[in-house]
Amino acid sequence: MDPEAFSVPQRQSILGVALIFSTTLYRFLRGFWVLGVYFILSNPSSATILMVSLGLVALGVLALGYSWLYYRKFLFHIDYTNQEFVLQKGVFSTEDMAIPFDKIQQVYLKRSLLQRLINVYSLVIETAGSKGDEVNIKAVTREDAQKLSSILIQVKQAHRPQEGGEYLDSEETPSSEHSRLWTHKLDFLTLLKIGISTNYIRGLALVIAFFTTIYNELNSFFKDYAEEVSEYYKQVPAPTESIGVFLVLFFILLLISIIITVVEVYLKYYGLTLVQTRESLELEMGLKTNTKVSLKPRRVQLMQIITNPVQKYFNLYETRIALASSENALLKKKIHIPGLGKDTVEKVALFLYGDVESNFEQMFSPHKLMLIRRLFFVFLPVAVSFLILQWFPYTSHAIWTGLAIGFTIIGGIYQYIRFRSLKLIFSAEFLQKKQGVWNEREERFELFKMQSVTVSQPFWYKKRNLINIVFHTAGGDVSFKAVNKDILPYINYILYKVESTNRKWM
Amino acid sequence: MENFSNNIIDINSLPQYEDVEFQSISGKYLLKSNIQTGIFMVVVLVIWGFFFFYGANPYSLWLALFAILLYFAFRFWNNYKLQQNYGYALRDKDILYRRGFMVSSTTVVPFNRVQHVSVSRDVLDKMLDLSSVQVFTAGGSGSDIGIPGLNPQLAVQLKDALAAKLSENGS
Repeated sequence: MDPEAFSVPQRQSILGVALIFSTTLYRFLRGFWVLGVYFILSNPSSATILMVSLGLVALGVLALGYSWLYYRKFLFHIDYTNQEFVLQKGVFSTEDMAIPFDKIQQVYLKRSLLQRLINVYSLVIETAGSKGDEVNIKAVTREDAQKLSSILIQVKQAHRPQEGGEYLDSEETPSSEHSRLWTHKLDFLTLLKIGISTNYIRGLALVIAFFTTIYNELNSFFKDYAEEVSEYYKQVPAPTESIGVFLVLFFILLLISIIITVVEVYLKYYGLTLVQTRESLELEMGLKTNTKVSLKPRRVQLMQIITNPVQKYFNLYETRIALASSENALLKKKIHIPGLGKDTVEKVALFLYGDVESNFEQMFSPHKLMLIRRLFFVFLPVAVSFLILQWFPYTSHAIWTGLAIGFTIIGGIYQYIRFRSLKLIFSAEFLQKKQGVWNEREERFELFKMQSVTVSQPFWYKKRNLINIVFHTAGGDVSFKAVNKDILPYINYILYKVESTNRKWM
Repeated sequence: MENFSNNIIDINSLPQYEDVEFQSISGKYLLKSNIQTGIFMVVVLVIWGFFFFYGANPYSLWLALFAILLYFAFRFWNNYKLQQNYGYALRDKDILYRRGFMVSSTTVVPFNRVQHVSVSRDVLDKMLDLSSVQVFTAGGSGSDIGIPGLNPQLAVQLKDALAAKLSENGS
């Protein structure tokens, strides 16, 4: 292949102007079609029609000019000396980006209907970066597109000396059928248990939301007609009498939400099998859509273990794993594996992370200032509702006091437990974060898989020497708030771990 | 795990990111922030003018004007304070970026986690001869950094230096 191909900055196909123009027009129409319809319906005079058409023509000319400039300014080339793909673009604001060969994850061609019509291709270059497609050259001729993409794929492979064939394919069946170390299967009973024990908080919230709406509706209804139907108003059953009805309704709804969850869980995780072979962990599940994933230790970015007291009693732990793969830059969704026993979770963790001994373990908790602030936010609605009560007596003082006390106690206890549960634990190779009031959640990642770290300090933390930290991983952020600055040496330690290793994070 | 050894590391002897000297950004960036805030202020004042012209309740109108002016006084003062806090620093193995006044944040991106780098300029940047440098990682938008208000040559130099560091680290 020509080693100098595409080394001079060049434009996309001239047909790109048409493409850019039509996309600009399309966007404009999408934004303003309502106005257009309104205009036509308003039965305009011929003079206004002329004015508006002239305006539209002027807009069209402007859009055409913009498209032309955009086309002129859109330049790309391959810089062989610096080993990167360079793109410059933009009319009003310009961007000049360079993608190193070894960071290119994927190169592919695609066409929309419009591109099909004018016979051009989109060439997309993806990296593992946060935006989906970093480079999208929208109008390339077939010949150029194929040439460029094949060159890019070549250089990408040349600069990425990796073990081949490590895909996240579903076709890739493990050759080592016989080398199964252990297998974990979910039976129907466990699925049932999961269904019953997960998400009933959600179900409960649903029920409560339902009732609040009904209550509000009834309330406003009776408020509106209070004067006219004051006689009937008195006959509306008092709260104590209706409690029986409400309870029955409540249980029916709870039952429905549990049944829905059970069915949902059953469909999603039907036939969940976890097979451990020597080199990977194979996961298969689902009735409607069958998912097959092979979990490779190197790909794992972040792992979460979630349980709640009821599930703990049943010995059910849910594991969530965020994977990165070179084929599919980042699997957007975390992989959820519910219903694992404690021992299985440990086996999974052992496989994914290896048996690493740590010579230290350092635990951090948030400062009590955080609790105070959170409690303040519990009191805030109480105070506001009290003030409103003074101006606009929406309920009696007795009821308000009862509700306020109940709310404060529940909110206070919730925030206290939440505050107490927050822990950040550094060990030689891992970072762990624990939290949870009802659902206990534990997150962990290998220190060297961190992408970057942000330390921030609001000015009201300065006096107390507190900071907020966000650890960014490719599987999501792990944040920890209001922690003492004593943690800084460990931030330096995690940076040291990232910067001193050659191990690939994916 | 090949070259993994388990020596005890004195955590306190590691290089400390918090001691790094930050480079400040171009003073012209303050002008840019003030122009942006100024345009916004003009828009708000024009809207206020409409209300004034069509005779809304004068009391609340003057109160609104007072609030608007107070808000923009704060914004301009905040711009000034923000300007002082923008800073970046390059170390051997990472790039640091600091910003924020009310909430001051520092992001550290190790070079071996950078995906790509770009230089961008908007219209105001072009008028004031400024550039900004973006550094992208795989850690989601929170982990990317964008350093504004750089001299264009400096921005290109910074980008090239980063690119060199990347290929050093690459493979």
